[in-house]
Amino acid sequence: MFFHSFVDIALKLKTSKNGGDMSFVLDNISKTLTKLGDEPAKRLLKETGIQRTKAKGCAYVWDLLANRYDDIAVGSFDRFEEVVDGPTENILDIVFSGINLEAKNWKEARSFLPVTGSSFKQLKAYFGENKLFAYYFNHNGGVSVAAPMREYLNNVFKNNAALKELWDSGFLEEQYFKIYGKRIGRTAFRNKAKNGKLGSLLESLIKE
Amino acid sequence: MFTKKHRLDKVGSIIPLKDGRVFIFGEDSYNPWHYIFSNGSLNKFEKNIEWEEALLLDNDEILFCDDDSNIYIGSGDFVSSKFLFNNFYLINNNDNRAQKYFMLQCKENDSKSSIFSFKDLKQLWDSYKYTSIIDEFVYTSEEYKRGENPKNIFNRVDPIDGSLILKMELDESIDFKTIRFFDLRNDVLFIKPSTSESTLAFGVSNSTGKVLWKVDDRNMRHFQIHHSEDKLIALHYNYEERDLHTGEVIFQHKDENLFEDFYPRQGNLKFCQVGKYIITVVPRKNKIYAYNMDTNEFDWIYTDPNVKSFLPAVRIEFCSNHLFLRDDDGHVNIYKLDEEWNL
Repeated sequence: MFFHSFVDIALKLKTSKNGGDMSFVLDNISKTLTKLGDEPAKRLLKETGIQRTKAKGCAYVWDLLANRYDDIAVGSFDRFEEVVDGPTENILDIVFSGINLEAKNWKEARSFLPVTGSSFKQLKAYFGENKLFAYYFNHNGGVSVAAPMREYLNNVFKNNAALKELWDSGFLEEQYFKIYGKRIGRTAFRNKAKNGKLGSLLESLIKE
Repeated sequence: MFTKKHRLDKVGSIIPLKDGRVFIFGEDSYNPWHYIFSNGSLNKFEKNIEWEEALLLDNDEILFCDDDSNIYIGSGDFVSSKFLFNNFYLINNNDNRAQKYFMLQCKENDSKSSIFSFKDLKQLWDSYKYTSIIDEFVYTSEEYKRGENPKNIFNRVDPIDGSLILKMELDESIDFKTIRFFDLRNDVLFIKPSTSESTLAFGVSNSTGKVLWKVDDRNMRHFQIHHSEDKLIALHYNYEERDLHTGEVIFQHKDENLFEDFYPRQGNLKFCQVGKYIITVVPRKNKIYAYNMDTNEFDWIYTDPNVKSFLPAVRIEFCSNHLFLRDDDGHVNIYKLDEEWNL
């Protein structure tokens, strides 16, 4: 379901020279963002709403959400916020990020989150901004995609060089504290990853 | 305002010492090394142990932790660094302030932390609560568990034995997991939320435990205490000052045109105060901004062509007239303050 809908939309967008499908999506996004009215939303619209590549992502996202949550209609940011528990701007970032990752790797989910490469850089950028985020995955034909993804993310945490690059933003330490109620240093965190003791934290970052 | 001098790869910790030197630790193709940055020059040293984390003590000595949970102490001459303890992890503080007391986490039981004094490096007491150290003060708090303990237990305790000195009188039902960042100036403990999930911030008297003020505003997480004045400052979608003793807004500068290019998004933006300037970076950009708090202008905006984007949530260091900024390629960029610049 998930991959099928993605492929359908990706093909539509790819073949749409004048952006016919896009205009509907853009219109909805614009209306919704304008409704929000606050400064971040306006800026976001200005910076991202009119960019074709990112709007492509939005089309996919609305479809994805509509499939995933029965009570989310296209353009329903309020419910969207409630679901992912964060402000709109973050959600769009999550979405764009997730799309990029999924779109690039949809044929081979195992290549998600390599220690090097663009998806790792994206992960680092999120950590580097210290904002709440999570990657969202659907079941693929009843098979959990999120579970192996969590395992790969745990491998990132086990890697000393990768963890060093992620650690200084304080995001992981905060997230760990929020979930387990204890402070932790980088070395101890890496040992937790090695011993498979970061399950709840991984679930908070990769959801389905 | 600043001129770029160095760009270092694979850096782990950056620790500015009180004497003006800066220790920079890293790893290059599995060969651990460190730099000592002094008077504008970098000297590189190879090491035989890879230090994982480091913590500055009040006497300018540094504690190190290696991958096997061994703790060492050194003063820059790493050949003579001493082994101190094993089976402990280091928990370093967030702002690189020199520690009069420090805390190590027990490897075998991560609920247990041990408090030490920097003077004799002796273990003073063990804590099973969430413990924070700011300067010479130690605080403990407990997670609320229904039926097990009352809400919001937040205490200042004796650093020598952990005994209660005073109870902080927070009567709000708040989650300490979201407000653990605090700082202290002139007897006011500023407690702020760490994430956008929480919005409450408090000013609490450090000597009496009385709540002086409370503000419910999601932007409170962006504030820091001014270095030399009793106020809180924040640079986000605008510039804002609040009175440290009352929490009230005392100044706001909103200017859409001025902040057009300065787009902090929703993340936690770290900034560094350099005299009358706030130095900061924003997500996904390779620009450094210097905001003049006197004139409310960005006096200096610099685009570094060798950087793709800086990491805004990572601590920005300014020491010995040099600025240390991390970028998303894992480099640390070092910029020298130009001499003619009036701070």
